[in-house]
Amino acid sequence: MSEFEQETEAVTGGEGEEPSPPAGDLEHYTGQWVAVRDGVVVASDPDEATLRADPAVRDSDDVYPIGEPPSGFYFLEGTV
Amino acid sequence: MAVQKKVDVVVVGIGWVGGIIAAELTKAGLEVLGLERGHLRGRNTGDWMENKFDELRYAIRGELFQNTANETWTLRHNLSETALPMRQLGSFLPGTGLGGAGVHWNGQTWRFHPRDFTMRTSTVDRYGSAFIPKEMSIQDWGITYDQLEPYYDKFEYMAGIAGKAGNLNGQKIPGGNVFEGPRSREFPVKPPPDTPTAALFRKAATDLGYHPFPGPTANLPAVEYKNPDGITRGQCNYCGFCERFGCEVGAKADPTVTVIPVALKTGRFKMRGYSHVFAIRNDGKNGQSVLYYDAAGIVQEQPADVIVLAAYVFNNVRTLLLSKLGKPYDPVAGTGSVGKNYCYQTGGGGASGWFKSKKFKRYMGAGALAIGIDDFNADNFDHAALGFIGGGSVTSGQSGARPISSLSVPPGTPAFGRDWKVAVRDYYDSVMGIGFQGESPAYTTHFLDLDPNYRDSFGNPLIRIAFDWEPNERKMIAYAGTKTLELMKAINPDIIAGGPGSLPAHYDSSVYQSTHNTGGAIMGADPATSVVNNYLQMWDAPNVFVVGACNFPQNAGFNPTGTVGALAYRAAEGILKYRKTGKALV
Amino acid sequence: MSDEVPSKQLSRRKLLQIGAVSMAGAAVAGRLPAAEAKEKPTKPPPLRFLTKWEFALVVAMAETIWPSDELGPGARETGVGYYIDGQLAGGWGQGHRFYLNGPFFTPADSGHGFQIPMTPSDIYRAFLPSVDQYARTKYGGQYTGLDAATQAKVMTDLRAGTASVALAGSTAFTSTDFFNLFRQNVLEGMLADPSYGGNKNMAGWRYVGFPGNPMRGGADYAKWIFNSKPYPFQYKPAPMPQDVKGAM
Repeated sequence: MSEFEQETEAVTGGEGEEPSPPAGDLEHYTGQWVAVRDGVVVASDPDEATLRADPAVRDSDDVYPIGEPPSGFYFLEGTV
Repeated sequence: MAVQKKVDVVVVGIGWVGGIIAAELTKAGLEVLGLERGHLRGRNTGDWMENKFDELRYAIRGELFQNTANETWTLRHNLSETALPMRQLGSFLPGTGLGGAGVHWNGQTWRFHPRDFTMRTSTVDRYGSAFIPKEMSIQDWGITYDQLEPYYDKFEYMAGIAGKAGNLNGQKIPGGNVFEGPRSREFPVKPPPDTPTAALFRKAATDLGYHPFPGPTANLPAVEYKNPDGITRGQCNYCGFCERFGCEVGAKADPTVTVIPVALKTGRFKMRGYSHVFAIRNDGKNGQSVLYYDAAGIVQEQPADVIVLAAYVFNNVRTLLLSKLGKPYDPVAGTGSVGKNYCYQTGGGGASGWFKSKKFKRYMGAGALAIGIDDFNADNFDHAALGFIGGGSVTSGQSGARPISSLSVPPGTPAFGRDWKVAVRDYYDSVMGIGFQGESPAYTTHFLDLDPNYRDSFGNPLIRIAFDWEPNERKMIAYAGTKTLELMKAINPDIIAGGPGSLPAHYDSSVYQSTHNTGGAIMGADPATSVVNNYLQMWDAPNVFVVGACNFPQNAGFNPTGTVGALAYRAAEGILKYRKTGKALV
Repeated sequence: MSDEVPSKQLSRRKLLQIGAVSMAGAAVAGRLPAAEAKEKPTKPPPLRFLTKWEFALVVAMAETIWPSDELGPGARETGVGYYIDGQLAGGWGQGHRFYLNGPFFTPADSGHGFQIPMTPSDIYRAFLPSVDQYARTKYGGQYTGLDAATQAKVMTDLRAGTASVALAGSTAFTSTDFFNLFRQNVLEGMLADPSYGGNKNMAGWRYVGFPGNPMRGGADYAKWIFNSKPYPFQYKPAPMPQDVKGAM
């Protein structure tokens, strides 16, 4: 039992607007593979093979995964 | 402002570059003044003797690194974004004080490949100019590997680098890096043996048909070595407190143990600490003096016949921009070169393996104790069908698993609580990793300039970095991950993590990746597209030399210090030539 | 029954049950390095930043991250609360190396890190009441009064960002960011040099298998690192040289 209790308001979301990233931004594709043509994402999928098989994806498109921020590549250890 | 007495040569920054240039010039009879923004004291082997084994103090709180409260850098991912400051140290850890980052580096010491110096010409020759993305502004260096080879040799013999040659005067030597450029002679010191994890890597790489070799290291193994300047150093204890720490036995090659004492011994090298250079007074064609804040923050003026900027990429470029010396790069007009071709290092695509019944003694280590393959670096493999340019070094090392930062657990382990605690103990000493360190090509939209919103504690604008990952690097890292996974599968641990590598949506300045920032004062053959010639002498002002990784037109798939050291020796030679002729050297 | 069994052979759980453990690890450590064997139980240090209420919550949360069990002492016993308090009162916690000049913006995209004008000590002071408020609202009681399993749920929610706890409505530092910061501080408290107030008697090092001073016995890692022989002192850590000799 703590001897000193505090009441605080639970804080809620802000009222200001978040600026949105430019079109073609990869921000919302973290954890997925994307197919990109002329700087724009044309298709995405969590699985590489599925994405490449998508009819919307051409052989000439750039296909790559979008990852989480790195934990450092000199240290093999990632703690979280 | 107070004007100091003129000197022959003033060197800004007393790290590897400043130390090498000071040693070479004072040995040749010149009087040199070194101005260092940080402390001169408290940074030698005696100081590290009893207090360095403190992971929190040095590796996490970063006592040896630049204090970002006073001065930092801003980052924007594209040209329409407002650049935001790095409010604490993150992706890179610049040094400060005597010896600079040469005190706290790991010691990995490489030579770039011959193709790296002619990256544009070589890529066009092999794949055609259409293979290069139109925004990619890779450029030839204006110097060849063969021209730089004697300076690489000089740095390696001064620093006592341990390794095994893979190419001696054109003859390939198995057991060394058979992809490297030709060396005129063997390394000065033999490499250390393999650790148990290195032996696992070696076998896997050999079975797969690759060409493993010991990583070239500045951590002196158990040998007596006296360098050409007469310096002997202590031998590495493999204490595991290397990168981010000073070396208490001097085993790690460090300017404070090698070149700075040589310069001081001549009696012709003076140093001033707490001297923060911010500008070069100039008339557009000649540098007259440097301006600096002294320990009281008062502006002092130091005239010199020759001015050498050796203060790390960001400080070198910022000084030029604040001085209005050289033409700043304009990405829209495509004119100017100061700030152009900023690059970094592309890391990712590594693999990890956890073993249920092996212990590796990972708490023992040295910063550059590693094994590697070069089969997937540079243009050592055919890119025609791959759709990207460049590659990187693949290495597995044992630099010392200090406990706070090294609790690696297999995928799927919870982040806290009992099950995590069990996994921590089971695997702390039972994991090995294979990493990939990739090239960072230059782009027209990646460059350095002065920030319009944020200033340092003296009131000067911060350096603004424009940088992000591009499709080329994303494809490179995806590919690299398939190769490190292949190696790890051949090693066959109990649990593996790996696969096609990925970069995050945007370059993240808040997570440590690499301190290999390059470019902004690039060297080249053409004054229209570079800042310095191949003696690192400014085209615009022949008495000003700008030296360091800032000279790289793009970054290779290796740590930069070996090449930085070679360029420093080249610049020293250039300064001595300039002193005789008083003219541009190219 | 326990009287007949030498204390060295009692399992840790047994000792916890009979209240025999006053210093983390001391009762079962076997052969102790000389420095520890002389140590007497001491008064806990005074708090230098956290209030008593905040401290109790920090300790409870830290114990959720790294609990005490039969494998080894957890955050409470090893002094992680005192470690964190000391850090928040010191240079890092007071933001001495943070660039805290404006203007401030909510980042337009990821990868810009910390962008708010608060120090770590400010963040703790702002977040801790919100954590407790969240625990009451969602789980029916303040954090320190919940059972361990429920505390773990609160922690999971903080980590996932599903706890609607943020700073002044900002999306620039969320409960996930606070979880990451807090967890990192707990790891530091368990595994930093004991002179910082945690890792009491090197219990954290002993647990993970970090042997401490690399220079013990004549600095002989060079003789061990290139072979596969087990290192006999892996779970018998030695204090770092500065902790043995003290300040110069």
